[in-house]
Amino acid sequence: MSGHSAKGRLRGMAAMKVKAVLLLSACSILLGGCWDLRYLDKLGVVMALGVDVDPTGKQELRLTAQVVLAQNVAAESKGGIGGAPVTTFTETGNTMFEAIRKMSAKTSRRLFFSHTQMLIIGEKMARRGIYPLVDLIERNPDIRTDISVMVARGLKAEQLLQTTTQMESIPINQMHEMIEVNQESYGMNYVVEVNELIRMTGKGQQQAVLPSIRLEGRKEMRNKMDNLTRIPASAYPALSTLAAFKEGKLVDFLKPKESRGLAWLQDEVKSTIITLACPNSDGHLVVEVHDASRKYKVEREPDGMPLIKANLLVTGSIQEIMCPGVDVGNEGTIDEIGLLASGVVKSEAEAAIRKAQQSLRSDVLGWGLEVYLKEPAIWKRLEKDWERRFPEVASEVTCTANLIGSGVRGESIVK
Amino acid sequence: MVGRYKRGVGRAGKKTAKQSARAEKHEQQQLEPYADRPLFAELKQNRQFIAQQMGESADVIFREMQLMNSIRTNVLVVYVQGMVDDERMNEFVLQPLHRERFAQAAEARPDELPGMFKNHVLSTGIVNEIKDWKQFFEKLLLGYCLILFEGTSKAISSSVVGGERRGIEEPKTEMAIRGPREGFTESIRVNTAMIRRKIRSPKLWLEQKTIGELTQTPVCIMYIQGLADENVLKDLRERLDAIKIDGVLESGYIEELIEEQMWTPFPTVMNIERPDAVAGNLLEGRIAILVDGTPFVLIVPTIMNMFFQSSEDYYQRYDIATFLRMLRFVSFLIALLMPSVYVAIVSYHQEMIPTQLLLKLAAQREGVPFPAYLEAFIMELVFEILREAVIRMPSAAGNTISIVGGLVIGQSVVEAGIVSPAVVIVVSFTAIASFVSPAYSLGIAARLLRFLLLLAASTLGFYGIGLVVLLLLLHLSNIRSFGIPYTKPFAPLYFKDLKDTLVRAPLWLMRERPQKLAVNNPVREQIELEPRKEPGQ
Repeated sequence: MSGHSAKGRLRGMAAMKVKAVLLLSACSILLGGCWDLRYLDKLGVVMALGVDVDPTGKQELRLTAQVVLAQNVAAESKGGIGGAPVTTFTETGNTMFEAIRKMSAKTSRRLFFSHTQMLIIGEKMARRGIYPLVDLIERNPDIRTDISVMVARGLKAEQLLQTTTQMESIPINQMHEMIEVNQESYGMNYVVEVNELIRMTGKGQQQAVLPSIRLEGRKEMRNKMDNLTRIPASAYPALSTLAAFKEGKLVDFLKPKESRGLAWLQDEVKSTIITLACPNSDGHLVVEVHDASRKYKVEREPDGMPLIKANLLVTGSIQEIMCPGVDVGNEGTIDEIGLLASGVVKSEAEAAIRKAQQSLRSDVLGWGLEVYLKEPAIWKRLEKDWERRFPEVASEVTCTANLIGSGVRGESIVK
Repeated sequence: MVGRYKRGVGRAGKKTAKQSARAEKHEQQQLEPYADRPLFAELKQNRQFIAQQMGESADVIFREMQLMNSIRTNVLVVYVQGMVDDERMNEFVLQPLHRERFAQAAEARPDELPGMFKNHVLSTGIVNEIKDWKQFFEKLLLGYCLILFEGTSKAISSSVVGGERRGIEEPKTEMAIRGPREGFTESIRVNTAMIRRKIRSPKLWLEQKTIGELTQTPVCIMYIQGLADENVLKDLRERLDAIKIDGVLESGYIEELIEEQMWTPFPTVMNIERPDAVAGNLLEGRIAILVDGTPFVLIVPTIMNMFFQSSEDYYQRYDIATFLRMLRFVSFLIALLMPSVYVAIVSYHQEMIPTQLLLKLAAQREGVPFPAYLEAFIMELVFEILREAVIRMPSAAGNTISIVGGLVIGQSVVEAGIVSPAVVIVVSFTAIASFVSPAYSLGIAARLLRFLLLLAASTLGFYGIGLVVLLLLLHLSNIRSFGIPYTKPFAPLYFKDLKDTLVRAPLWLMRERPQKLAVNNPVREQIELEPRKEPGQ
C-alpha cells in the first residue's frame, strides 16, 4: 500500500515537472512576446537624410529627414486627406542620433530608418568632413549601409529634400533614380554607397568621390505644390559632376570631362555616348558605348616608384551622323572613327588624372589600393607618405575602341 | 525502424486487452439472449418470435405460402421491405416456390426440405442454411430473404439484396480533368467490384469483417497478396478486431480507431473516393479498407507525400505533372504560412519588403482600427465561417451566401475602412491556395495550423513562425502510420522514392515500388522501358 502511494507521489512529481516545463515555456513565449512589435501605421518611413552645418553655429549639425506620408502616396487609397507625399523634419544636434531623437518632439510617429535610401550632404558640411556622418549608418543595425550618398552642390541638403518633383511623387526616388539612369546612359556620375565609402578608408588610402546634385530653376519655388503643376517645374533637381574629397573633406567639383574621365578610370561607366567631330567635314557624329572596361597594371620603375598602366577597352557603335561624307560601309572609316573615339576617352581619362594629381593632390583614383594589391612591396615603402608621393606617380593610359556597327542605316542622309 | 514498428504492434495488443475487459461489461448489457439459440420448429412460433424481437416493425414482411407437395408444407418467407430487390425476389424466390411441384418432396422429411430448396429450387447466387437466430437476423437485416419451413428449425437465406441506392457518379471531392469519371458509392459490393475491375488479378484478395455490434457494418480489407506487407496486414487485422463499438456509420470511425497517433492534426490514414487512386495504392503495396455505407475508402500505411499526389499526375505527361506537384507543395506552404508571414512582416519586419510595397501597405493600413494580427485573425475566422456555411447551406441558398460573402465581406468591409485591402487579398489568396491540395483532410490540418502560426507570428514575428515550423517538423518526423515514417521519403531519406514526390518521374523511370512497402516484390516494371531513340533499334 505504501509502495503504491510512493509510486503515486512519484507520478505526481513527474506530472508537476511536466506542468512546470509547460508553464515556463509558455512564460518564455508570452513574456518575450511582442518585444519588437511595431505597428506599420505608427511608423514614419524616412526616405532620406540630409545633413547641413548648423547655421547658428551652436551645434555641430542640422539634420533633415524626409518622411513619407503614406496616406498621400497612394492617391487611390481611401482615407487620404490629399497633400504632399512627403514632409521633412529638421533638428539640430551635436551628433546625428541626437538630432534624430530630438525630432520626436515634432513627429507623431516613430521614425523608421530601414528604408532610408539616400544620405545627402550639404556642400558646407561636405567641406567640413563626411566621415563622422556615416558612423551611425554603419553602426546602427536598423539602417542599411547600401544607401547612396550625394553632395548638394551650392545649396543645403535641407533645401534639396524640400523640393517637390514631378516624375516621382516621392522626391528622393527621383534623385536616387537620376544617378542610376545617368550612370547607365551617360556615365558622368556613379552611385556611391555608404559601405563603399567606408571601405575606402581602409588600406590603399583611396579618397572619396561622391556624385553631386544641384537645384535648377527658381529655388524659392522648390517646396510649393504649385511647383508640380507647372510645365516645366519651376525648380527641379539636376545632377552635377562628381565631387572629389581629400581626407573626407570636399576639395573641388570636377569638370564634366574630368568627371567622366574618372568614371572611365573607376570602371563605373556602363553606357555612354562620345561626340566626335566628323573626320572629313563639318559636323559631328556620335559613338554609343555599350560596354566599357578598365584594367590596371602596376609596374615598378627604376627609381622604385610605381608606374600605373591603365588600359581602357570600349565597345560601341556609330549611332548618329550629322555630316556628309562618312561612309560607314567602308571598314577603314569605321577604324578611323574608332581611333578618334579612343582618343577622346584617353584624353578624358588623362584630364581626370591631371586634375587628381596636380590640382586636387588627392588619390581619388584609388591608385594606392592598386599598388597595395599588385605591388605590396612598393606600397609598404610609400604607405606612410602616400599623400605626398601620389602626385608624382607616373601613368600611362591606353584606350582601344572597338566599333561593331552603325545602327540600322548605312549612309547618312546628310549630303 | 523495426523496433519502432514492433512497439506499434505491442501497443495495439495492449489496447486489445484493455478493451476486451471493457467489452465484457458491454456484452452483459447488450447482447441479445437468443443469439446462439436455434430456430423453433414450429412456423407460428418463429413468426411470433421474429415479430416480437423486431417490435412488430411494419417494414418486416411475412409471406406465408404453401408448398405444392403432398403434405402441403407451410412455408414462411421473411424479408425487410426496401432492402430487397422486389423483382429478383419475385422471379427467383417467390415464383419458384409457387410453381414447383415436388414429386420427390412428397416423401421428404421437413428437415430435408431446406437442403433440397437450396440445391434445386432457388436460383439466386448466394444461398445459405441458417441455424441460429444470430445468423438469421444478420442476414435479414443485410437484405436477404429468409425462408422457414414448418417442422424444421433450419431455414434458408437467399440473397436478393437490392433496393434503391445512389448510382455511380463522379467523385465529389477529388476532381480530375483526365481520368476515370467514376467515384465510389455507398454500397460496399459495388465498391469492391469497381476495384476488381481495375485490377483483374486473382492476387487481389479481400477479407471481410463485420464491425459494429448494432450496425453490423461490413468492412473489407483489400490488398494484393504478395505486395502488401504481411506485418502491416497482421497489425491491421489485430486493430480492426480490437474495435468493439455499437456503430460504424462511416469510414471515419474506423480511421480514428486504428490510428497510431491520436494527438496530431495530420491525417495518418488517407481516404480516397476514386477507384483508380485506390488501385494505384494497392499496386504500391498498400492496403485498402472499405466500409459499407460510405464512398470513402481508407488507405494504410499513409505518408504525407500521398496527400500531394493526385491520380491525374500519372495520366498527364510527366513534366506537366511535375509542375503541378510543385505547385501543390507551394500552395500548401502558402495556405499554411501566408497570413502569418504577412502579419510578421507588417508588425515586425517592415525592413524586409521593397520600399514601394511597404508604402502601399502602410497607405492601406492608414486609419484601420485594428492591429494587423487582429485584422488577419478576424478575416481568417470570417472566411472559415463562410466556407463552413457554404458547405452546410441548402444548395439553393448557396448563391446567396457567395454574393453576401463576396460583396459584403470583400468589398464593403474594405470600403468602410474596417480592414485593409491587403488582408483581404492575403486571406482570399490563402483560401484559394488551400483548395489546390487534392486531399481535403490535409487541407483541414493546414486550416487549423494556420491559426497557430498566426498566433506565433503576432507575438514573435518570423522567429515565432520559425519556432512553430520547427515544432511541426519535429512532430511530423515523429508520426508513424503502421510503422512507416510519415515524412518518408524525405526523412528518413529514401533516395529512390524521391522519384514520386516533388517530381513525378517518367513512368519508364519508376521501375520500383516505394521502398519499405512491397518489400518482397519491389520491381514494378520487369523490362527496360526507356524510350527508343530511333525506330527499329
